[in-house]
Order: sequence, then structure tokens, then C-alpha cells
Amino acid sequence: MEKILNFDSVTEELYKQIDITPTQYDLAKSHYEAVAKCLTEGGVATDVYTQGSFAFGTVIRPYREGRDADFDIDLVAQSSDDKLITKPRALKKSVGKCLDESQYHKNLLDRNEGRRCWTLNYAPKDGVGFHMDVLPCVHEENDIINKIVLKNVLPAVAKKAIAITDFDKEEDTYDWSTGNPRGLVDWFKNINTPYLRAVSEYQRRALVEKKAYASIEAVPEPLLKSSLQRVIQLFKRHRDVRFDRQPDYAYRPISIIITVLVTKVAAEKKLYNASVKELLQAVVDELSQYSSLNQDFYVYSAERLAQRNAVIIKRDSDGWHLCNPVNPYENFAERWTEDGNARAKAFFKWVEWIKSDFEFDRADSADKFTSLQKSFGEEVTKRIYANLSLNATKSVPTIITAVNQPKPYRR
Amino acid sequence: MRAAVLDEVEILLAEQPLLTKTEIDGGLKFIGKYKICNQFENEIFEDYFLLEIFIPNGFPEDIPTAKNTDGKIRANNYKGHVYANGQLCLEVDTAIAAFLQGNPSFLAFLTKYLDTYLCGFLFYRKHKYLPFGEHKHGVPGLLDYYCELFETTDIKVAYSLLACLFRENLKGHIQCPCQSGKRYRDCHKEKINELKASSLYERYKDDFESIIAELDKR
Repeated sequence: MEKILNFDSVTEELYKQIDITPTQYDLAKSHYEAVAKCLTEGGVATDVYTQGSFAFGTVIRPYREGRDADFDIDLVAQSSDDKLITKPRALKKSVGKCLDESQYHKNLLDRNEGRRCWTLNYAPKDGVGFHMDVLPCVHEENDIINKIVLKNVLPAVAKKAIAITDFDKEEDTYDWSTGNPRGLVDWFKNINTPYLRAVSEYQRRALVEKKAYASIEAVPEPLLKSSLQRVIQLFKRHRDVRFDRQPDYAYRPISIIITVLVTKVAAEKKLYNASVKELLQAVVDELSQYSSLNQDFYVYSAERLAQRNAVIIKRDSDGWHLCNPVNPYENFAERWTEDGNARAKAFFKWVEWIKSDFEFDRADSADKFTSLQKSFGEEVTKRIYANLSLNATKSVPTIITAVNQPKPYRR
Repeated sequence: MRAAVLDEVEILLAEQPLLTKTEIDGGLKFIGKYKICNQFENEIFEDYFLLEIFIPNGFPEDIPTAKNTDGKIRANNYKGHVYANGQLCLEVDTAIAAFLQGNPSFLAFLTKYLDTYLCGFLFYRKHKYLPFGEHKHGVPGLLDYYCELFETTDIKVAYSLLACLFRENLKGHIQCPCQSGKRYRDCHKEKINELKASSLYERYKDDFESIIAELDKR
């Protein structure tokens, strides 16, 4: 059977499966607005906003145990209380209590208190449910913000840092930790803007022509996807499927690491007009440079990488370093040395996988179906095949010669 | 629309089952996925494109156009060879009209212009250069075309020869504007008269006027 199985046809189908639909997006938004209303009216938060993939525009449909799962939304519930006179235990409990007293939210609330969050579970509607993590916090104190500024973070960004409650279940104690989800979103958007600009007009026009929206201006920005956002989405999905039910599942690369690494490479390469495929290739090439760090005698490699100014991932005698761009004190790779560098090993194994798994155009791979299924999941693969064979017409290539051919011309 | 064209439409719909035909004011539109499968040198270029192909009622005197509707081909990924509305920059209109004059077939148009353009796009995406060349944008591209038509590399010569089309009573004994040193009647007169009599005369005139308008601006 003649089929075209190439990067565009496979990813086009993948996006359909992993993107949040406009309806689901509106539903998520209404859930989030209801929580915001509940917490602000209850007086336990003054500022409620999304963080993570929802705020980055890189949200994907999660995949667990061989199936598509419920969406995760992360919310920050920031209180205007002064950190210096606030107890983390009291703050966390007050948010939990407020949700518990709400007629609507008490049935959704998971009584099992998380380390940093409260979780709300929304029952599936049309087969898709949501989990919402609510993160209680206050504005970070000035001493800590000043220290972050000294590490070359712009004051305007550092000022957005928050203090998050940190619950130790075994000891039953609470502490503060620093985070800056808003600063991180600003950092991301800043890098994503030129990438988005390159595609936004086309994507807006396409939605208007499909009659989804009346005018170009009416298309909401979260529905547009730059090549940078697409690469992050594809990588996350591939990670979810590849590590699903594997022994090293717990060590798989976390989303924030994938997001920050891809964004850092995109910021450096400035490939604004590149296709998703080209940007993906550039990121894979860049990340594989670092695989030499994942060996016993890494010191020489580390020096060579430093000489080439390749410092996105660093390794020294203290361990692995992959810093939060808006809070250099936070190291996303802090736990990579644990269990015999298990997370580092899983990460570089995954980089090797992406190198080969995204080569759909290669003619020689005999069993593409199995390989696609292994990389992106069974449902998507079946759908890709169904669509392509439906569309397939018998084709014998027509030969084109170089002489006397038309030349593209624009007035 | 001519009967011969309508026969071709049936063949097109059979060959491209993912296109749907719509009758609109002024002609026929084909909307949907258009498949190409071409071999150039040792590579096969095979892909689907979301297109909107338009055949005007005045075909073949009026030339067909094609638009890409999903932004796969963009000015910023194909060296500007697409208009803002997605219309593909296939060739200089006059060149297409001249082809259709000798070959008034819609399917021949698709093979010659659309398939080659799309194959060129896939090739460009992979190798970063255009396999069959390109014309410059705007008036310089028009002059490129007239250089080819008059088989010269000198745009001044191309311009002077084109200008002859719009001059009355050009005497046969003058020096030919192509600077060959020959007399006009022994050189380009025949070619110019042929173009003057051609049904494309109005197109030549429009092109010439655009060129003059551009020169006036400078």
C-alpha cells in the first residue's frame, strides 16, 4: 500500500490527539476561574493564576498506562500576607479549609494533602477529566529576592518570586521554599514571541477561514502554537509514551527540564523561521553534545563543553546543574546524582530515542507501525494509519528534469 | 467553460480524490488535499498540500491560480514565493499565458506549474536552494523573464526590444535595438511582429507599463 508517512503527516495527527481543544480549554478556564473566585472571596488569596504548561501554551493530553489520561492544570494561589509574619502551616491549611468549605469544591478536593499543593479532581466530561493542583504561597521576602538579583536575574523578574509552603509528611513539619512561576513564564514568553510572530498570521487566518472565529483579531493567543511550543509538546508526548510502564518511569525527564532546555536552545539559535522539524533537529543536535557528560570520566568532556561555551547542562564534583533561569538557586537537576545517576541516564537515553524516533521520512525502516506506536502511542498510530490509507492513491513518481522549468515569481 | 476543460476536471477529480469541486462566480474552485509525487534527480518528493485551485471561466486566456490554505508554504520558509493570502507565486503570468496559448490544457498547467512549484518547495526545505531557479520579485523578475524571451542576458536589450512592440512604423533599416549591429529587418523584426500579433499583446503591454512605472519611480 502506498502511503506518505512523513514528519508533517505524522505530527499533524499527533497535534490533534495531544492538543487541548477550544472547548476543553474553555472548560478548564471556567474551573480555574471558579477556584479563583472561591479563594479570593474566602480571603485566602488575592492573586490566582496559572503556571506551568498551561501558562506556557505547551499543555498536552497526558498518557498513562497505555491510554490518554486527564489534563493537569497548575494554579498558583498567592496571598498578600507578609511572609515574615505568616506560618507556612497556617497558610496551607487555610487554603485547604477554604476549598473544603466551598459547596462546589469540597466534593472535588483530595483530602490527601500534597507536599506543596491541594488537588481538585474533576469528573470526566466527554471522556476528558481534569486534575487541578492549587499551590498556596505568599510574596517572597526581600532578602531572598536581593540574593537572586545578585545572581544576574533582572530585578523586575526576581521581584515576582514567591514563597511556597513545603510539607514534610513524615515529620509533620512545614517550611518555605522559593519559586518564581510568573518570572519563568515571562522568560519563556520573551523567547517565544519572535517564534510566535513568524506563524501567528497564518494560523489566525486559517482559523478565520475555517469559520472558527469571525476575525483575525478575535483568535485567542493560546490557540496559536509556535515551532518552539510544538517541539516541547512533541518531546513531552514522546517522553510520556516511551517511559510508560518502564522500570525507569520514575526517573523520566520532568516537563520543566524539557521545557527549559528546548527554550534555552531556541533562544540561542534564533531559528524563528524554521519549521518544527528543523527546530527539533537543532535541539536534538545540541542536546546530544552533552551526552559525553554521562560517563565515569566526564571531567575532560565538561572542560571541553565549557570551552565551547556549551553550558546548558553542567556537571562537576557537586553533581549535575541545570538552573532555573529566573532563580539560579534552584537546580532542576538536583536529584540527577541519586540512585547512581539514574535520572541523568534516563535523560540521555531519551535524547538517543528522539534522535531516531522522529525520522519518519526515512525509507528504510521496515516496521514503521511498531516504531510509531512505541514512540507516540497506539491510538494515535492507528489514527495516522487510518487517515493515510484512506487518503492514499496509487502513485508512480512523475520525473521532473531541471531544464526549462518554471521559476517562482512574485509581483 | 469549454467542454475540453470540463473533461479534464473529471480526470482531475479521479486522480485527486481528496479535492472537492465548487462552482463559484467566475469559475471553478477545487478545495482540499492535493497530492504530488515527483522524482527529481535521485529523490522522490511525495506529499499532500492543502490547496484551493481556481480555474477562471476565461481559461485558457485567463490563467488559473492556486492557494495554500494551511500556512505550510509561507513567505518566510520559501524565499517569499507566496503572497500574503497564501496564493502561490508559480511564474510570471505572461509566461504561464504563453504556455497555455500553445497548450490550452488545465491538467498540463497543473503538471507544469503547480507540481513543479510544490516539488521545488519540498526540495528547498531539504536542501536550502531552489532546484529550478527563481525570478526576482517585482519588476526585476519581469525583466528576467523578458531576457529569457529575447534570449539575452542584458536587461537593457530586453527592455529596448520590448519597447519596440509599442512603437509604430519602426523602419527596417535602423540598427536593431539588440545591439547586434545588424539592421532591424534582418534581426529582431520578425520576432517583434510575431509578438505584436500575438493574443498576449495586452499582457506584454501591461508588463511594459509596470516596468516603465517602476523606472519612473527611480
